[in-house]
Amino acid sequence: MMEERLLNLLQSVRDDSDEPSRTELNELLRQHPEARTIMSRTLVDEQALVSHLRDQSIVSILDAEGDVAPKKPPKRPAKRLLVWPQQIAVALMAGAIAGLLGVGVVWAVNSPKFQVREIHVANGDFESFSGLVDIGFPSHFGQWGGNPAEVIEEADGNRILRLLKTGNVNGESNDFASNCSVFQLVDLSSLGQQWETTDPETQVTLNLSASFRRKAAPTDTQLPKLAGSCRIYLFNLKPETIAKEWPRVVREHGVGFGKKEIKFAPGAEPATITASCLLESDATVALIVVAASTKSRAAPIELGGYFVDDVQLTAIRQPALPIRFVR
Amino acid sequence: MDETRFIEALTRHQPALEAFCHANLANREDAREVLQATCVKLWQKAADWDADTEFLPWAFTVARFTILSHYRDQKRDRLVFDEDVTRAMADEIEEAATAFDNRREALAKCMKKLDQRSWTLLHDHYTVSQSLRKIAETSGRSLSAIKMTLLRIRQQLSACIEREMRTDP
Repeated sequence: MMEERLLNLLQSVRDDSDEPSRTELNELLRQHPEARTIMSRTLVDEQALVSHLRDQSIVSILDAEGDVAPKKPPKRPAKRLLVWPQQIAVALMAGAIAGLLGVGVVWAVNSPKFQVREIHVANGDFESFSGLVDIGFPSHFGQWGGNPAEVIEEADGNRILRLLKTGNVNGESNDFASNCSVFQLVDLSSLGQQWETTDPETQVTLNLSASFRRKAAPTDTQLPKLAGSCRIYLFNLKPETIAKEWPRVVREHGVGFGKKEIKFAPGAEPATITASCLLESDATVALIVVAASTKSRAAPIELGGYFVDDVQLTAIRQPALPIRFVR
Repeated sequence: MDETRFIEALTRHQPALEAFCHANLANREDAREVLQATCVKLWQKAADWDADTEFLPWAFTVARFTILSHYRDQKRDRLVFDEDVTRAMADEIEEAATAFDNRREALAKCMKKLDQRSWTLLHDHYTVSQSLRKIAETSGRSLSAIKMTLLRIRQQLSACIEREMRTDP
């Protein structure tokens, strides 16, 4: 009742600049602590709603875009300007500036250089085979591999990846581990050729998304909290070198990284997780990872009902934002 | 000052900071203006921030002064809340804005339960910024019916968010 009254008054103040409603609203908030709690949450949630809808709108715009710019010669030599931890900070700052300027969707729509391209992930929807995924780190492009996982067929015929057990992908089967990860190496060389990834006036962002679902399983009560995650690592190395030197190769040769993680309770609604990172001009390989993590290293455990589907990798090219450190 | 850590903290917490401004002002344009002024002040005061302490409480304090300054610059009839009411709501707003990431995550789950019609109404009103009157005209429904529908959706979302927050705080 109180919430309805507050929302109605707020609507009247905003839409009609109704002064009696404004007075009544303020008086309610003065007199009733409950009203203050409800109003605070309502407005914070309203901002969350705006933020969520804005993100969804940008995704829709990206979906509507699809063409790739004609090839042009690069304007600057391929050179890494920042090491990747700094690159993350710069990417974050770019996001902050875009938010501050309030340009978001309008900027994206108006920009002639704003382009989107889907990068092929082999069997990203898991429809082309069923059975156990190869154990071990993949050493070639276009194949899934990693910790114990299998592709199963659901009752409706849809095939889906099931993460089975945590493990150390390059170690012994009983090594302590905190996650079950499935990897694929993706060739980015054609993207660099088709797009001007060396153009200082543009930047390319890679988005890795996947649909995660956790079904209730009999062993759930014995399991720690589990989080689903998408990760992208960028390299300028041969696939077999990445496979051989994983995971040390990330620290020593990584040129980009992005990660997004969400906790899932058993039976929770499915959710799409999207990780992003800036594409450095010299990156030739993306390592994409979908995983479930226990967050603490322990002997390998069975994960119950953890599923992943519709893995997609998207490249977005847009004008580079001016970035300047202010002291 | 560790510049990288400051940038990371500012960027990571900017959505919560924007929610804090919005909850104090209940007006998106004003909230954006105050957010921008707050970020400038945070940059200027970056050297005061101890990277080993939490960023948000410090940022909220800076934002609060900016909001109060905004209140004094505006005519009363342009504001939704009176200044004393904003002060009275300070603790509740800070608590809700601190939980912004979790609330947004909960909201994303709740949005999936909405039907297409509800989703479209929210999109038209909050993203495209169409007035309810315009939406009513376009859809051929009465203004009061649109208002009531929006109210019900907001209530449905609020209840769902609270449920989600209780399940996974």
